[in-house]
Amino acid sequence: MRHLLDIVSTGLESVLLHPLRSVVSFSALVIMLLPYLVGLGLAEGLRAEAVRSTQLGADLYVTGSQFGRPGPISLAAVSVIRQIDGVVAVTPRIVGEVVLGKERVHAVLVGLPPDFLPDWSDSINGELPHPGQFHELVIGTELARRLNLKVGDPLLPFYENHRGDRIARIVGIFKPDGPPWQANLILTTFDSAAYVFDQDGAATDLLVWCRPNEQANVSRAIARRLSLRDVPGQAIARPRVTSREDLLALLPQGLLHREGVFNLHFVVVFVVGILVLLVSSGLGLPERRREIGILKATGWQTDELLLRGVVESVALSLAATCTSILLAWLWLRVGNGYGIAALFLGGTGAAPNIRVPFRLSPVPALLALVLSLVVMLSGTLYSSWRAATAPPREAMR
Amino acid sequence: MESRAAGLLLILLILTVAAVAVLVAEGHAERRREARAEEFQQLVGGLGFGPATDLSNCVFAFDPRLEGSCSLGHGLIPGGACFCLWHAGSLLPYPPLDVPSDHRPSGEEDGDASPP
Repeated sequence: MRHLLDIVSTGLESVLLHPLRSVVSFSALVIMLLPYLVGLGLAEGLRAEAVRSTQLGADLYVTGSQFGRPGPISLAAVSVIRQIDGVVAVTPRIVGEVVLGKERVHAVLVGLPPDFLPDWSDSINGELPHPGQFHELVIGTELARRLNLKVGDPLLPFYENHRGDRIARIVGIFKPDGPPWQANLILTTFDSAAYVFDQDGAATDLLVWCRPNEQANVSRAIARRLSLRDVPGQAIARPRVTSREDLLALLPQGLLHREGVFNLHFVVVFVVGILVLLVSSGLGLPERRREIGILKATGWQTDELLLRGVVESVALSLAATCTSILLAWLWLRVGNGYGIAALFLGGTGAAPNIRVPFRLSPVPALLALVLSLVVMLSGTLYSSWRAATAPPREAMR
Repeated sequence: MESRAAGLLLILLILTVAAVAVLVAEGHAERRREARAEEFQQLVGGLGFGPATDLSNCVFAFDPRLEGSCSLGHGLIPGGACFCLWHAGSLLPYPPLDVPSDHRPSGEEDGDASPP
């Protein structure tokens, strides 16, 4: 045991014996692992948010469709859908774009019936909108920052309605650690949203909740029975139904495909890394061959030399992986994915204004450790074995 | 064990503990984010899916439930969706949301008109 510990000790010392080689190997590993961990963290974070958005939403979303493009759907369709067997609840929703302020800030206005909104929500600082004389609004963090708005502030009319404009009041602001889509969101009551858009009797989509295992039947029934030509005030020809499964099917098709490309890119990087380390750790470093030759000449066995090389590789891999995890955390948590977030959230720019979602989980960290070990051991063991199996006289030459 | 090796072992130990602490802390933060996201999604009935945070350029990139494909694909430039800033340049795009055939009314498959 004592002998084994001595070999381990010399393995650790060999890291410090060749500082330049150790620094180059350590830096190469960190350069490879850091973008890998940050990219996987961002991909996992975004996918988790998308999955939550799908799973916690309605079972079905019904919109109108005209010339293959989406359009509003009449509120008269709500009662028609409610009568379909298997439907538990139907809620109309308005989602539209508004432009605010002199800076022309684009915002997403969402209107939902007051009975759909709870009395209180932990995702909001302030309170939820209620129907009343003023339009009560809950706004996103980015909107609040850009328009310098606080809870209680009034918001001058940002729309035109033939019945006249009404002042709006900020009653709440979404908390910043929510999903990224809250950043430019305005939540209000359905009637307020209809007033802002001056569109009475219509919704952007109908949220349908069904009894378990009834989604497909309800979806077919809506498409078959909901003849929108018969719905009063409806100019749209046919309904369009999107189910939760349709959305979940997009994730593996899209997100995993490109994540696969991302992984493939890093496989190439790791292969190149092995070659770099092969050169730096033995094949191109006669000094290291001489050192192994001297150790062989003084009585070291081949397996002892290999164990020494393994300890050296494990020490460097562990140091590089842990440093990469810490730097990745700093990049994502403190730097908010500066520079790299734009690759995943197209259009956000180098410095995202929103809190970028990410997930640093143990599995990618362990994967990074395994990859760094493979790279380091490939670079060290083969060259050590070649030098150790050669006659000491040749190795020392 | 020599002092240099012991020093290196100590550094490795500190780095490992720090990395594990970061991963554990992020696990707790993730659970908080999850609870917050759950509240938000239940509040708005499920909203947001893609990389966009508003509807100004591409509704599809904000949420495919609102528009099943990139609107630039129907614009002035043929194949304009390929130039969409939001999902054409992103590492995490998703394909257009085609309505599956089992959602069509019966009798309308294969381009047939609906029965009278």
